[in-house]
Amino acid sequence: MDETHLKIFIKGTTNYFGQVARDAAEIGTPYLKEDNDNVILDYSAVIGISGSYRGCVYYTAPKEMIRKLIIHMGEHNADDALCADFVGEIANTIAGNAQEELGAGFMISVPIVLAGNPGSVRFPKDAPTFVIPIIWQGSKSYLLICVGESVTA
Amino acid sequence: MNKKSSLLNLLKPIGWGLLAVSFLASLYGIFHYSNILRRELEQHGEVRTGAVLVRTMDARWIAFLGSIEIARRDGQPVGDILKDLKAYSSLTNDLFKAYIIAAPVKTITGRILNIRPVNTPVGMSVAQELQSIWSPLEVKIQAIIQNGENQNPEQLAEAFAYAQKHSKRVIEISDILSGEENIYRDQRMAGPIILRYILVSYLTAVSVLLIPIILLMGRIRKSNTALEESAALLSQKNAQLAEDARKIEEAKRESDVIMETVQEGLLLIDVKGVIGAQYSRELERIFRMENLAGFNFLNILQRILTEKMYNTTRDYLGLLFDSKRKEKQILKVNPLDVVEVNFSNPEGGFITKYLGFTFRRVVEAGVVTRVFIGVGDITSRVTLERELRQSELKKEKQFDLLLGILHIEPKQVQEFIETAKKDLLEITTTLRAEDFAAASAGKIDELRDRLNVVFRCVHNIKGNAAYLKLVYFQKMADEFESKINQLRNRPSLTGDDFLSIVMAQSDLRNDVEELDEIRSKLGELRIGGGNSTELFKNSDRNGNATQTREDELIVGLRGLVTDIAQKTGKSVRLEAKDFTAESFRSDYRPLVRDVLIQLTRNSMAHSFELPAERTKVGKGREGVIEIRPTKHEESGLNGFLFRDDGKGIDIIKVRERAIAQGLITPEDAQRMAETELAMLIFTPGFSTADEVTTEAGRGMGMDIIKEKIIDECGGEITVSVEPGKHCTFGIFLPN
Amino acid sequence: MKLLIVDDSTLIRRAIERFANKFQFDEIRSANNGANALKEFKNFLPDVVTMDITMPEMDGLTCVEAILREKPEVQILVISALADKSTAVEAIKRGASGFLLKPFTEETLITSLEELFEE
Repeated sequence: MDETHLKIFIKGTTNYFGQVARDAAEIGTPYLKEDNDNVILDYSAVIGISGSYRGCVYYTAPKEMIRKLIIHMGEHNADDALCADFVGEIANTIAGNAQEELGAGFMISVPIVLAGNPGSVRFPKDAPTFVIPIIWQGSKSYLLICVGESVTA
Repeated sequence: MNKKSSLLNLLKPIGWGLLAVSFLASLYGIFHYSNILRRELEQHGEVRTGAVLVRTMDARWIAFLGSIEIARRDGQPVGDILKDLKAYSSLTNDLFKAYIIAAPVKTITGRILNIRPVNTPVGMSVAQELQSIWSPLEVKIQAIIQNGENQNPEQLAEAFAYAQKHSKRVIEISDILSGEENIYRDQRMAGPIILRYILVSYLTAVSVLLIPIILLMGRIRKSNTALEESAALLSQKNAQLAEDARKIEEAKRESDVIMETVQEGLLLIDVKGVIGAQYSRELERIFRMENLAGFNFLNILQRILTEKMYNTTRDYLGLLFDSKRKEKQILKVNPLDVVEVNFSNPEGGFITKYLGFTFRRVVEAGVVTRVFIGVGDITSRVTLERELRQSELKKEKQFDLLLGILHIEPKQVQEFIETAKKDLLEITTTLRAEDFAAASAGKIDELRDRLNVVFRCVHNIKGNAAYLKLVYFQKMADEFESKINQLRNRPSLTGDDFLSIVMAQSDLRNDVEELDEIRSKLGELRIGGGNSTELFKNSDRNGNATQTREDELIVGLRGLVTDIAQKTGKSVRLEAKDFTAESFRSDYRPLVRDVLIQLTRNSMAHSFELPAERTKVGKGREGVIEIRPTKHEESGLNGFLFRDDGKGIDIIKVRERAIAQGLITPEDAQRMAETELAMLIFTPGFSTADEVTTEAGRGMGMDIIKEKIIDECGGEITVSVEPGKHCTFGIFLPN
Repeated sequence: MKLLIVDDSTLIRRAIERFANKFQFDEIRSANNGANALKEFKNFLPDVVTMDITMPEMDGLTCVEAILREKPEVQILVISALADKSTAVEAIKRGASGFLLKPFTEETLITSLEELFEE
């Protein structure tokens, strides 16, 4: 994982908002996650990465932001199920798109969507976790990337 | 009458019946004849072809033997030529035999010739002669084939001479055989067998239903003249072919030039994946293989692709050849636009390359007959991106780390690690901060503030590393600083600009952790290794028994002074007789060290003049830093004075800058004493340095000293300045 | 012309439905997984299907094959976030007529649908 890789994820995210919400998202200052530091908002989706890369990509967003986004797309009833569903979709698209640039060795799992606060999400220890705040129309969501290269021959 | 008529009546059907029978007979006769004629003509053609083969056979032997000799001399393999020679040799055998006993001859192209044995006395004699010429040559050729790659030049020369010697006679025999065949054919054509057929047919035709004789005659005549006509046609066609061949040759030469020079692998494959005869030279270079024509493209891919990728590509080619699928949709999902491939290296291991493939259909009459493929080697483009993270750096780093801490006391290394971790954590805390100004102008200020905090933290790590001579960390922190400085110079900032910062932070954090690991391992070693450090310490103490042992911190600072002095051409001495960090509370000691490092660096960079300048203003050539323990006059706090006899703080510049930055008004400036003005350097963000050098700008770091000493610990700071003469800082901390 | 939308995300189903309205389909229905899609398909017999690949209960590619067995002339547009080329090739191989990468916009969806009928 280097800066170029992070940029792939960030580009994927901003593109997503640019295309789907027609209003670009802004990136806050990224930072390194400390072990005891849990970034979990109302809706979260975790995507497992395997293959020649290993780790996970995690997107978490506040309810109010997801609602706004859904309404922005032309939907009126932004209920809980729809919100959870949408967070999974965002995470899936960001990770799926990154695959194109990271290659076939970058295999992604179906997203696991978590509604509400599950306490904590475990991250692999051998790679740093980068936290990237994504701000859209004043609300702040986070993309967490913890991906290392698998040690294979 | 009645009888007659009844007889007639009786005969009538019989007569009709006879007529019908003779009609059928004549039809049969015609068909039978024309079949015989066709077969005759066919065989005649084959016999002639055989004669022509005999004629060219001799030239072939000579050519084969010649090319074997050339290849031998050039040291080229002869296997392929031998294979062809073997095939021609057995063809010769069959052919020559066929003139004596009836036998089918299979030509090189797989065609079967039915050559009938010659039965004329002349023909029989020359066929025997041909056999007797061939037999000795066949023995010689067999021997040559046996020799394989180890050809004997004498054997070759001998066979070559023999073939050449008999060459003329073989051609003559060929002509005789052709002549005999022509005589035979003419006999057959004009012979009574044919006449009988014609006669029967003619009579039957006339006697029956007035079958159009002219038509029939025309057909027969046509058959008779067919050979002459076809011969004429043949020579005309030959001329046409020669002309076409010339044109094709010319066009081929042009396309050859293109195929030789184009910098991309170009090829055509058929539905089975077989590579066509024409492909570009570059293709051989890319695939590291030669003679690709006729080779299966899929086999090449199977060798260089992963199994999954190979299967995908095979499916993909299947789709391309499936005329029912839309090309546009298929081209969109090209799996090989950028693909990593591995070639086995003759020197062992693998060579990894990146190739880019493009595909296009070749459609003929609505069917995809071939697929055009372009292949480019894009390795340099792809690897350039990856070269940055080469493992070299890592190896070098680990070695540096180990080497770097061997000269340092373990306790000091541990202190460095602890403070570095604290600084790194502060970076995270700063970047994570929630408050994000809404207005865009404010946002940039906010981002700049964050950047400044990050800079201070990194700067502190750099200072500590320099003090301990941890060259690697000094370099890392320095690179980190220059990344920050790049951002500081930008007119605007966004969140993702900080990616390089967190990346560098992550690397640095990783390095600190690695250092921690090495330190703890080394610690174990030292304990296990019989207290070598302890021994060293004792001898040191014994060796300098008359002197009091100097504080570790002062030893480090002295090293820092010497280092910077060397780099800047300055001459400075550090005096700290009674100072010891031990007199401070243990949790303040790292802070005392940080502050001393910062003050020393500032003096070295900005206060001290060059030796020449110093002598000019009447000072000693060598500058002096003095660190002396003292107590605060009012509060009684424990502390020290840090004095340098350089030019001190440039009060005029501080005043200008403070007014320009809006910290004070010009009226304030009039009122303020020099010491008061000097205190302004502790204002956050204040700097008098015009540019940030490696040795740090004064001001940067002073604000953090104030924040730590006064705000966090409740200590005191004093400043006394005599511009041009000296500058003294007092640092005091609670007991 | 009839359209069947298959996607496990309600939101995406609705988005496709809205975007596809421009296309003047006579009727649009949707299904949230492969098994339901097949059931719905048999009743509805649409001309066009948009198919998500990663779905619970019968993945999209298996569903593509099953649908083509029912009605070989149906046009299927596979929509996926998996940018892996193997997936795309596999989809076309199984009989999909087109492939669209997520996230899509109204324009890219419309273009992809139009391309299904291009010769």
